[in-house]
Amino acid sequence: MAGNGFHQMRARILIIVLACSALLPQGACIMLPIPTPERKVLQGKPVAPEQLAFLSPGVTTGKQVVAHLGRPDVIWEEARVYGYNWVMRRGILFWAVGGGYSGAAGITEIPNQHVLLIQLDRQDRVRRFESVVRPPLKSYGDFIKEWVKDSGQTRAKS
Amino acid sequence: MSHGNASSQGSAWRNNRRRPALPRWVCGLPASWIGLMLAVHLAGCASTGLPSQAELGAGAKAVVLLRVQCTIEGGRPYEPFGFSMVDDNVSFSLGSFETGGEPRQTGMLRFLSPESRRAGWTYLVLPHGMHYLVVSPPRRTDVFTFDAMMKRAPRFRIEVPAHAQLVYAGTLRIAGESDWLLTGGRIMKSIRGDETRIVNEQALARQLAAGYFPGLGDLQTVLMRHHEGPVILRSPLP
Repeated sequence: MAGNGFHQMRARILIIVLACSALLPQGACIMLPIPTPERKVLQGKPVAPEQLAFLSPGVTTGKQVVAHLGRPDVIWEEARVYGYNWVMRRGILFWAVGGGYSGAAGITEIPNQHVLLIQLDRQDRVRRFESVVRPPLKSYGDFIKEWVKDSGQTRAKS
Repeated sequence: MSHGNASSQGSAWRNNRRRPALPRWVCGLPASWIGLMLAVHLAGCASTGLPSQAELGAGAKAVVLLRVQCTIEGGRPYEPFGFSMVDDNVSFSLGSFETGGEPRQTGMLRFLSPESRRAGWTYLVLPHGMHYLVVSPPRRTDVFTFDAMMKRAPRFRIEVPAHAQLVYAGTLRIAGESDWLLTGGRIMKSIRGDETRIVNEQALARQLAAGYFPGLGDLQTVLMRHHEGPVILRSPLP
């Protein structure tokens, strides 16, 4: 009976050791986001609303767009969409990660992804334009597709 | 007398100590644990083999063959895919319509055979359209720093023509600097972008493709190009 107890104890210890070693690769992390005003440019060249005053749907041509705003960052050929991307800092994230026998910590900037989308018609004239913020969890492809899909339903904005 | 008593007590103790059999599931735990850890480790490794028909999406995607040849200090050859890991001796990042052309680190690198891997050949399964490839030294920083580096890194534009099933995108010849590893050997730490060359080894690619992809039709050679200017995206309208 005593032997049985001893071996049951050993089995329990073995299970506990295995369970603990299973936890070793697991990490723990702490994240502390701090919002900041959008002043710092992280990437690209911001396009201010007043820079869009020259855009007039049905009148402004693609060449005029490029002359005023420069070459777009992205061109979706099939949809005739120009995309101007820039990223602003909207906050700071303090982070710390620990796992196993090691850990790391740091500060990173939280980005806000701005996109100016301009769609041209078959005559190479502006059909629709909008300056928008891309949700962080939505891919660029999905976002731009949704925007183009909506363009049939939304009136051109100016 | 007392000695004999002690002996019989010792024997009784040994008899008591005889182990009752542990439950089978307990005995199997260490083996299962080792197996699980091995599987987790191997999950990060590259696969050798061909893509399935389902993966090719009934012609919606193409197999894109390419080769990477590296040299380090003094023109010494450096095997690009020596470890067959996600972060191998060189790392691939790929931008597409979904990412707006911004490169994201690719998952598993794939190879046709161990021999072709050693020779620097790899393949990607990509939808038709434009893709933007960044080849970099393996990631040795946090993910934020690496992403920022990728955004500034030189890109190569890979075009997968509509209806193509098998494309050769060229051979990338890259040169860079390396560091010693504590475990021995060297690891690339930077690539000299101005010395990167795209070379056409179509004959070798055809030979390889004929052996591995006989059912995918003719190999089309569309050499990748250094990308500059706007990111061109191609995708059907929604």
